[in-house]
Amino acid sequence: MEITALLANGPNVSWYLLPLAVVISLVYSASRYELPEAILKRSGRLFLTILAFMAVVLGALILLSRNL
Amino acid sequence: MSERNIDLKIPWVAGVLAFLVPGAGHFYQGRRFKGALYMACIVGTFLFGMFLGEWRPVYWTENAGQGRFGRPAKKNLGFLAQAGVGTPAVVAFLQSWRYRQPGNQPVVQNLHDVNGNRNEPLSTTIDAEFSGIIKYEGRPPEPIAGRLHLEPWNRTFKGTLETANGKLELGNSLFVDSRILGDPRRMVRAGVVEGEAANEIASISGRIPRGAANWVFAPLDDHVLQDLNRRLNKRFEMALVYTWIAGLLNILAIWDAVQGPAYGYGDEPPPQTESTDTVEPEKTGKKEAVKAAAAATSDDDDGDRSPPALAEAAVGETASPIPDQTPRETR
Repeated sequence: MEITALLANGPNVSWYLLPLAVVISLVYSASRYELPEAILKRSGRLFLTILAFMAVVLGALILLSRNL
Repeated sequence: MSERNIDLKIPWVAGVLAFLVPGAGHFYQGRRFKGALYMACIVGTFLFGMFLGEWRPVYWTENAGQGRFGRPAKKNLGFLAQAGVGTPAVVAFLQSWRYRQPGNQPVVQNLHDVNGNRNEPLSTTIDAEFSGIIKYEGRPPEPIAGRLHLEPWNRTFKGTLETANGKLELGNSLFVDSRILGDPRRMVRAGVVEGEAANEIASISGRIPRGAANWVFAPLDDHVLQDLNRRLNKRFEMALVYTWIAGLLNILAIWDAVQGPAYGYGDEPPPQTESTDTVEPEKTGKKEAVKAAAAATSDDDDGDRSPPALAEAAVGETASPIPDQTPRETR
């Protein structure tokens, strides 16, 4: 499946994962740290890490579903 | 450890508050930023999930009991994750208990459910707005709406449906959905009768509203669950995911309220000293103390002690090699 088709297939459920990733980053970081600056900084890093992980998984899935 | 730095007040009270309302435990402890963050994130996620699932993804069924048509109600193990949000879980437990009460049965008269004959007479008067269809023998169904009135009468029932075109007499057969069920609409089917002999000439089938107290957080049976999945499809699945995540995240918030954060104030830089005349090894550390002592000997060398020896002495006198373990001032 083409990546454009994968992403443009209506309101893809993957978009729902972005706010979830934001919330998970914030709450997890808040449970680790106390200072607002530390929480926000660490949650930003965690959010980017989650995004990168999701991108890698998406890439792997696209690769595996090639020619299907 | 952070417990020494943050006033957790009575931790178990904070934990209970955090369980009941995400963030409330932190507000109780005076940790407003984290309270607001937890509340916004967890309650927001939970409510968005509820919105996606038409306010019905959270329910609890203890056992696979009887559904409306004899089909078992679905077990909902995902509730174990949703339960972390607290108050909705308590309400869902209550609704599950109400759902399982023997009195919460559909009204069935002169109808056959999938298990065979079962008569449950109407026990209370029902008066509500009805919308649905009417089906006469040999004719296609037509939409119909009006005011439905049903009342118990002599182990059976009497009823009318007042429409814009007139009043229909209802009788003979009746089905009314159970009172407690996770569906805002309550299904009704009834026969339309005519004349003294009460011959059934048609049947109506449709819905009347169900009170919010009788459907919010109430268990879903197979019929309702299939309807939700059919209409909402992946949106309902995302609703489940959002509510699961909200419940699981609140466990972190509860833990934080009871135990404090993992690192607390440990990340903040050490406080700056106001005095510049004297070197305080406790604040500046061993290396700074050594440098300061060495500088002092170069300016005022008494000749008896070598600079390195003086530096060692300075460190030995004023700075302990063991880091200060005294807790900081309680906030």
